[in-house]
Amino acid sequence: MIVRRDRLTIWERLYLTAIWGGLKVTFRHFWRTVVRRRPVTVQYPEEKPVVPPGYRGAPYLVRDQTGRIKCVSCQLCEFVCPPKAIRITPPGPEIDPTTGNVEKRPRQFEIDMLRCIFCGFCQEVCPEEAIFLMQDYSLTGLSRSEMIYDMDKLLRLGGVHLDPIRKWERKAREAQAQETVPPTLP
Amino acid sequence: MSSPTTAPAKPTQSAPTTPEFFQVKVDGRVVVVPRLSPDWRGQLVPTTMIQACFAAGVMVPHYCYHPKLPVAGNCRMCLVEFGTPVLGPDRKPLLNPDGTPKITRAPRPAIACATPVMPGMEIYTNTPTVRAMREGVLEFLLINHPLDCPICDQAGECKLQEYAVDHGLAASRFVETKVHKPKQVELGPRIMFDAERCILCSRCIRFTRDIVGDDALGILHRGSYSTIATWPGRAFDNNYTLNTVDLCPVGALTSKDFRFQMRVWFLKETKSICTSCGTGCNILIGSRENRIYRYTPRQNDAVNSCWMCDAGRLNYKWIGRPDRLKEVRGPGGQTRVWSAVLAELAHRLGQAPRGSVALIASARQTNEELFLLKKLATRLGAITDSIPREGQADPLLVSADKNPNSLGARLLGLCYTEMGINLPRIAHGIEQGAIRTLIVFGEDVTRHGLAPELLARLDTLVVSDILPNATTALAHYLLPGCAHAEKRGSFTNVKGRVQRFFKAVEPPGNARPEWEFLAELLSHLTGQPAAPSLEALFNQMAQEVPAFHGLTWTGLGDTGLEAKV
Amino acid sequence: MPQEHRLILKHIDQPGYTPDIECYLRHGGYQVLRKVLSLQPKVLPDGRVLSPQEQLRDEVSRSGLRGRGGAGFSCGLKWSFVDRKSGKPIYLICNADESEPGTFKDRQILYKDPHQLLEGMIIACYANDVHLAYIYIRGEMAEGARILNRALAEARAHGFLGKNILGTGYDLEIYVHRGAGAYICGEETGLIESLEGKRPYPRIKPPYFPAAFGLYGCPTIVNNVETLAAIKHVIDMGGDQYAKLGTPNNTGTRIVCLSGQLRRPGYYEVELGKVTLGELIFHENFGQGLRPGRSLQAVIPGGTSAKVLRAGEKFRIKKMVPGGPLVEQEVDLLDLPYDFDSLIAAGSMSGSGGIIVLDDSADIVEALANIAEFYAHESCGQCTPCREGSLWMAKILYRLTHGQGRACDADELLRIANNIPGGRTICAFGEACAWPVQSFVAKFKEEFVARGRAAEARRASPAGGAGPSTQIKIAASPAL
Repeated sequence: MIVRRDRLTIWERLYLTAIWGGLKVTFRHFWRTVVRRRPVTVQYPEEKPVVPPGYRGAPYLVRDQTGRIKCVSCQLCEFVCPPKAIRITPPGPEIDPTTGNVEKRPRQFEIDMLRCIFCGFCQEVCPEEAIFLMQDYSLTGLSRSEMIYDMDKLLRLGGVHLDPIRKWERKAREAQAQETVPPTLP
Repeated sequence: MSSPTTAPAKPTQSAPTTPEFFQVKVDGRVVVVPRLSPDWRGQLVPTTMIQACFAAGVMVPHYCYHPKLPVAGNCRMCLVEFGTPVLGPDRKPLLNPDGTPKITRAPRPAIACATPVMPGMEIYTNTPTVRAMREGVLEFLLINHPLDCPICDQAGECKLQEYAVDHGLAASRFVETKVHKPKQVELGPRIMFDAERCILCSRCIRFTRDIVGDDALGILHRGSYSTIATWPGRAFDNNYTLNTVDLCPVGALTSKDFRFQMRVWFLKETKSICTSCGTGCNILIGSRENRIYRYTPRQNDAVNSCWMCDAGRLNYKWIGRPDRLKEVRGPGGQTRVWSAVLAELAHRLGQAPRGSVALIASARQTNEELFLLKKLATRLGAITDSIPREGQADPLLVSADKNPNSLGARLLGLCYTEMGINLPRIAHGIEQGAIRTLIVFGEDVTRHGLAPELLARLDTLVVSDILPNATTALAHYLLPGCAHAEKRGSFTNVKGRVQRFFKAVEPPGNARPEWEFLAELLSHLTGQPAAPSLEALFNQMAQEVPAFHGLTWTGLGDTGLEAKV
Repeated sequence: MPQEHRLILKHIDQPGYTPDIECYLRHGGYQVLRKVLSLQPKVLPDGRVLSPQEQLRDEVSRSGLRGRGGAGFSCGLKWSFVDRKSGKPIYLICNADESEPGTFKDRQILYKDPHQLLEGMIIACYANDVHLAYIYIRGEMAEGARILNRALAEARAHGFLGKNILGTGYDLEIYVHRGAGAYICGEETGLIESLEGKRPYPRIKPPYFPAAFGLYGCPTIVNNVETLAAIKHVIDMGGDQYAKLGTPNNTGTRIVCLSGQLRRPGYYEVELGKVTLGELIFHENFGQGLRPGRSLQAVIPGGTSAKVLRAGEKFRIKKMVPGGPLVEQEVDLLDLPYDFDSLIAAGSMSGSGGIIVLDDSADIVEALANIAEFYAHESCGQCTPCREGSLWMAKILYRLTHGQGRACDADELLRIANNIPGGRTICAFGEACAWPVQSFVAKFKEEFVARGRAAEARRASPAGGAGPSTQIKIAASPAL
């Protein structure tokens, strides 16, 4: 392709014009910050920026409104995590009566926050809506091992997430209603 | 010249109307198929459309069909359309103006797994009707299927998931209540059953009844409420129950042992051989980060078909035991370094007078290790033997010989056909003081006639093993070895088949594969360089040992080769 | 004047006619058997010799007798498929598992004239070199089994059954086997599985065609009760004479079972093709019409498996013009001749002979829901489309009839029903459970849509509300 190079006008060739254009920007910022007192900066940490909804902060695990840990240890997030920050220990074959019909809950769930790139893939892939990237963006620790959050910490930070569907309870209720086998309609 | 008393030859029967090989077309691709093919028992029966499709490289989705099970035809997933050539009054196919045979499209589809092919048949596996039928079947299967994928062990190797992605609809149109059935049913001591996930393909029933010969499973109730169960009064506890877990296309039958241990997509699958008996079933070791999670069988029609026994399948936990031998020990019990110990050992053994050395090699060692041990024994003039292990056999797979490489030990000259016949001689020799050096590989000889007091009389006791036992406790030189999952090598099964296996996990601590340090030891002793790799070692063994003439490491492939027994 | 032609039902229901053998013998019973057993080989002009069995089979073929169980398959052709070269014994099974809703003809023969069935059966066995036969009777007919066993004992005592029948050296033993309450045992391979002591899962064909691999893997003939009873008459009259009854390709007589909202439901034996559906429903010799003030809404002409025909529907079928050839005409429902071919041409079938009449007081949606529940209950569960589809359709219809329907449910039903029949299932149960839904919804679409719409309106209104529903997540709009 042929790039046309237009010949610059006399004003454009003059160096001072460019300087004037730059000074205009400077003056605009000066006016905004000093006179109108609306700086672009924020006095962190006394002032904190407003984090919009949908912001991809640190991933945490949640409980539903009945206090059940929503994660069922399907390990999809572990698989999809690009930097392999998530490490899950599955529960193993011992039948845990506290899980009820959900049957599965992770024995251990660790996220290495130093590896996490906050991409949100784990939240996107989770079939149980158990992990969410929340508003936390500043994570600090004094050692690398401190930055590996285990399940207790993740649940504590994650809090409660309202689940309107209640899939597992609903399944349990339907199964109970069909106690007679073979059931007749309905 | 035939003698006049020979009866005259019978007149040949009239040729069958269908030739032995003929052409069929699958999606426009021509493929030659035999008229008869082996069925699940190996008997020759008319070739089915699904076999023709596979021969043409076309994958027809199926659930209930399995090449090693009798045909059931109830999942209806393999429905395809087909057409047959129109025959004229002279029984020859009519032709179109352009020379191609005239084909009448069959008005109804047929299941590919049960319908025999005929010459000139055309099979269509990708018409809009076939696609719609597959969508229909999948939709029907999914309407009562529970939403268990996150907690189901079959995720990642589930045929329902795979076909739903490939052939199914994207969204569900079912708004009714699903049929609920018992979940978490302990169907047998090793099997967990979830009736809701079951698609009633009946593979488990056919396998247990027809392959194992134990009619334990059946279906209760009817229609949509059908449930697999053990017949009243029968237990589902034969030695092959876990094969139904492999067979089950969905997560209805799961292994209690593997349940909730690890997702299958994380598992590295390494080709290996089971070492629990002499049959040498071909397996895949599923491991992640140096921990073994399960064994699954690999298909080898010459050895184990598609199956393996439960006892062998669950026999992997010992590999991860924390008390595995990890360090080299020298005389006095201190931890040593391999290089130093091997040099010292070579020197010591080299000084042992001929006739004063005995070598007991385990029939659980690989062919290559036994080959090197034989070389060592010959070099030292040692008397050798192995330890036999006999147990219960069964009609299907399990051999009475519980050593995986008895035949290897015999062929490589480490023992006579009657294994263990030399042990009393060795014991006597030690007692007399004639044998001053004993090398033991992979066996606890205190349980086979060589009491600790006897072993205490030896000048040099060299032991290589993987788990501590009474013999390792008494060793002057302790060389930690590897389990079969931690090294490469080959075994010779009871029928003389040489099969190779690969490394799945790293050995613990400083343990080394036996063939590796044996090769090093021998090179110290003989001054000749060791074989540079396992492949080279195997090929060398194949050259030097008459029974293995003609075999090569690469030639062993996935299914092994027969030795000249 | 349309009237009955009582051939099989000739003596049944006559005063004083009892099921015992003496009564049967008094009315000329077992004479045909005697005639059959005394047949000699026939030498044809070209030198071929026809054995008595071949002659009998020939007669049956010439008679054009078609199966009376539901499929209407030519009996002579079915017998010709039997593999006689395998060396394996040939079995004959009488299918007395009369379970098709709307059918009650076989029980008349079984309960009131069992010896007619036995004579026909023995002749059929002789014609096919069968030495062991079974009568599979549905478990619910306990009294019928008792009557049959008594009749068999009587026949044995008189030398018509057992070893060396009537001194001719022909052995035949017949046993009665009772079913255990499954409609699918009426399917021939399901019946064979049940007879073998297994769950009645129909077999896949190929390779398990009963004519080649039936009971215990041996060639087997499965015939309906009425067909076997007709065999006696075929042989009695001769095939050509029998073929003169009825109409070409639809020969002989058949017992029709009229039920539903008629003045005089019952069973009537008619010549095929000689009466129309309208005559069967309205004529004073048959159904005598509907109840006062009622008009016809629908007719199911062949048991609930058959497709429904709506009142006022017109069909293009080939009809015999008096004195002339077959001409394609447009025919009203009531003028449809009652025979196999006309009903098939009308898009339904003659099936098991049960004609169910629905007048305008019948709720079509309820009727279909009733039928669908039956099929959902009776599905054996072996193959996927029927097992899941039958219950799914029943659940949708349950919702429709309990005020929880949706306007799109009609299309859903059709879509589901289209995925079941047509070779997608192992046996014809797929057709049986799908055809009612397909035909009812297609022909009475407005009823189903209206029911669904009304339910939606009720839910949307503030007073209606969702109501206690354990059934479904009721979507305001369909899932797609």
